[in-house]
Amino acid sequence: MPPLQPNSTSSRYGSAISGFAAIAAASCFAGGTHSSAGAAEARFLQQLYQYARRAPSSTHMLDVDANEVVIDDQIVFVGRETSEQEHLIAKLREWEWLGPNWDGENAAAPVTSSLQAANQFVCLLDRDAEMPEPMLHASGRAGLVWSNDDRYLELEFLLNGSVAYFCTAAVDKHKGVVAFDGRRLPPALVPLIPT
Amino acid sequence: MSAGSPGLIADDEVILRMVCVPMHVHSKKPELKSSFFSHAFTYGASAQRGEHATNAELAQCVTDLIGGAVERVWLGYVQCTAAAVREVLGANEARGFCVYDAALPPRNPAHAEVHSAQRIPEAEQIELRVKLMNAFNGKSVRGRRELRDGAVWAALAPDLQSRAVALQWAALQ
Repeated sequence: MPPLQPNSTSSRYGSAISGFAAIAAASCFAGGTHSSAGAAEARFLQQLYQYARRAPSSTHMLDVDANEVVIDDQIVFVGRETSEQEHLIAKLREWEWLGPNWDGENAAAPVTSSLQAANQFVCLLDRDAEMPEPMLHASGRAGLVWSNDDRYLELEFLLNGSVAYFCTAAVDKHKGVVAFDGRRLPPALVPLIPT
Repeated sequence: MSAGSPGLIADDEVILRMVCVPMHVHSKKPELKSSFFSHAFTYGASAQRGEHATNAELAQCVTDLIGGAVERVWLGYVQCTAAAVREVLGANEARGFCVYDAALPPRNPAHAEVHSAQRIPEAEQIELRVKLMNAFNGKSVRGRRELRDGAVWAALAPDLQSRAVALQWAALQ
């Protein structure tokens, strides 16, 4: 695959900008460790990530939602729509831009490290798994929640690199705080996460 | 108790909390996330005393919450009795939350606040927050036009009424 280049002359992509999804997808795979990504796709996303790092956020010319990107003046079909996981990552990254009082009730500004930990956590989920809902608390900390008829699992990403969790399923209840290094899911949480 | 306050909040008083921040609502269904109540662990979660607030005061409350932020929209409200909040228990059966008068006269004399009753360890906060959400029946956000048969909605400025509600929350319309 040729190096990824921005194409500023493309009439198709020069104005309609949807960079968040692209960056989110790329950053998720930047480490090249996502287990379920194909090798070619992982390479592509790594290139996309490198490009996204160079380009100011206001001038992205990539639109993964459109299933196509322009590389060296050629339209390349990515072949799939932005996944729910990528949308979720994009949402968490978007929240990093919020300032204090983002809720009109004097909430603290989002804590970047907490949002990034939530992002790392989402990246470690299986792509086909049930995705959680993102949350932002008045403290500025990020959270994730899975809520359905069978199970309620909520996580909150604390400031010391740990995760508080609370889970109810049928008559079972689990809660506590576990360490999270951003590289693998905490073993105590794995059986609680919906698949 | 604040000057100009209606007085202490009785157990059978209904308190309401307005839902104005889409981020606090599930993206696919009109259910709250517990983050809607996380202020209870910081400076207090604002609420309105249903029996004391006028329609105009409730509309003003919504207006203040939405403010100039175009991404905010009045989606609806949740409500419960003060007793339901006070009955939420934490570890060792200790009371989890207080609800108390926090009048802000003359603009909002029926203002109340919900606050954690004690210092809650991190590992316990989520569970208590979820219990608080359940006390307010957070899975059933009430539509904005339901409040007082639409009288509060009617008192809202047209430009605030015109803010769109996402399709997945059409039930709140």
